[in-house]
Amino acid sequence: MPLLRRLAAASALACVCLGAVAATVDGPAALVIDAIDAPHRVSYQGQEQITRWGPTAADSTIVRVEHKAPDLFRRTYLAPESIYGDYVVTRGTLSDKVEPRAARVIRTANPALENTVAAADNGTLVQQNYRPELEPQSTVAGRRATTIALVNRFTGVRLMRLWIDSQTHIILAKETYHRDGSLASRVRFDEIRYTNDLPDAHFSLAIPAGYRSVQGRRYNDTSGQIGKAIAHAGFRPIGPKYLPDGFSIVGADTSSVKSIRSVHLLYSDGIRNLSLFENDRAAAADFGTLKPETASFEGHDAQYIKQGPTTLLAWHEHDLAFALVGDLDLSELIEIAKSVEP
Amino acid sequence: MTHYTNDDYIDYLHGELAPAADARLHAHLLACEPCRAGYEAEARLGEWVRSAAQADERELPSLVKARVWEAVRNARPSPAQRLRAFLRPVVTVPAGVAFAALVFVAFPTLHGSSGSAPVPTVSASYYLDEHAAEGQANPLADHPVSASVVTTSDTSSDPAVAAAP
Repeated sequence: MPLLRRLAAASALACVCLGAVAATVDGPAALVIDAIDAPHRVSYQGQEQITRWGPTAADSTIVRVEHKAPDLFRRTYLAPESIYGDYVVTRGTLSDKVEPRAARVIRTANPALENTVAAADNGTLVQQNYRPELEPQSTVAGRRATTIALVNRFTGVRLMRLWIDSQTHIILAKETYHRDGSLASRVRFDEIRYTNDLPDAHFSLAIPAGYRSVQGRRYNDTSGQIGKAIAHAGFRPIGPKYLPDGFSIVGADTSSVKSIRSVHLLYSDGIRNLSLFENDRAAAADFGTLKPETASFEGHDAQYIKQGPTTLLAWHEHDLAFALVGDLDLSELIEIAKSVEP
Repeated sequence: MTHYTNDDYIDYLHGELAPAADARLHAHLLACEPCRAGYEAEARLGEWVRSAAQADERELPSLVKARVWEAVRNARPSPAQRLRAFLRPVVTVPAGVAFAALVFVAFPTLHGSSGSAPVPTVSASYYLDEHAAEGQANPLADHPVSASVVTTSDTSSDPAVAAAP
């Protein structure tokens, strides 16, 4: 079957599955599924605070968000000072980051933003792997919100809490937690107003006069056939024999960085993503100005860094170099890494 | 709206404008239909001139070429030139061999015997950004949308970011 027809069929199937999930569940589960889809039909503007906690410090961002359904976004950064006034306009898969102080625009393309199959998979995976528990209602940004905790069905650990607008089903706040219950991240609207009056021109990707256009990154497209991506690697990629309960492979892509062919295998449990990158040129991870720490497992000298709740673990074996990235504890990543056996 | 002139288009086409002026004209062309038409006409004219110049390149007449070669063949070298021609391989071959041997011994890294050839690397930020990008489509994913875009404000050293042509 040709690729396009196969993808179209997969998309249709995914839509049917998503609809089926929404149709067959009720209560908090149906609300969570609907909240995932709500931005596709609800427009709004508001101010959001994003905080991510690392092992010893946190970083926080305040952003003005304007969204016109289904896929137009404009995010203007208010804090920290280093990015004050910068804004990002997103139309579908394209994003322009506009930097007034540098008088330049960086355009990036992210195919994942239009991946309907992945969106459907997320809904299905959340439903499979997480038990939604209703908590007392509260108020966020002046809106009545239904509070739902998502508890991992395998470990019994609460990994996320959502505050969903009772009327529009937009997620007004979200917290994620580590396995020990400590807070990993929080995204929360300080204010929000629903409106359909946002002009299209506000989301234009035209380069402002006097600005330099810079071609940014085109991110991997992991929505294609996994087997095809692996076949194009030019070497035999190795997957982990162990994954935490609930994780499954959801995508793959092959790309070249500085002429080094690299395979990206993507795993998810609906909430948490896990990426395994590998190449057969023994091209190690270059941490640049980041200060990696070392870890040892099964004779491998690995390096890792933590950025907020995200950890990157890099190691090599024979001529293969690996990098594992995910919002999992280091001990979990090491367990996964141990099971990657060339 | 101020419009640009043919001279401006020519400078723009030849990359002779200052960066700020170049960016201004680039943005103007996106928005101004008359200027874009003028620019495209200028670009077409330049292309035509180049094509015409290439088409007009002519080979030397065969008679001229024959005479040039005849003059070259008939030129008789002086005694000093003959001596230099004789000595050249006698002197240069041993000298070259000696120099190569010296380099081989003194700089083993050049021929890889120490195994310290440059090792390829992939930036850790590439991995982090690619991973974060995957989460952008999922409202439940932990990554705030565009976080990776925001953190790459200094793209000058990022191999994944290159100035647009």
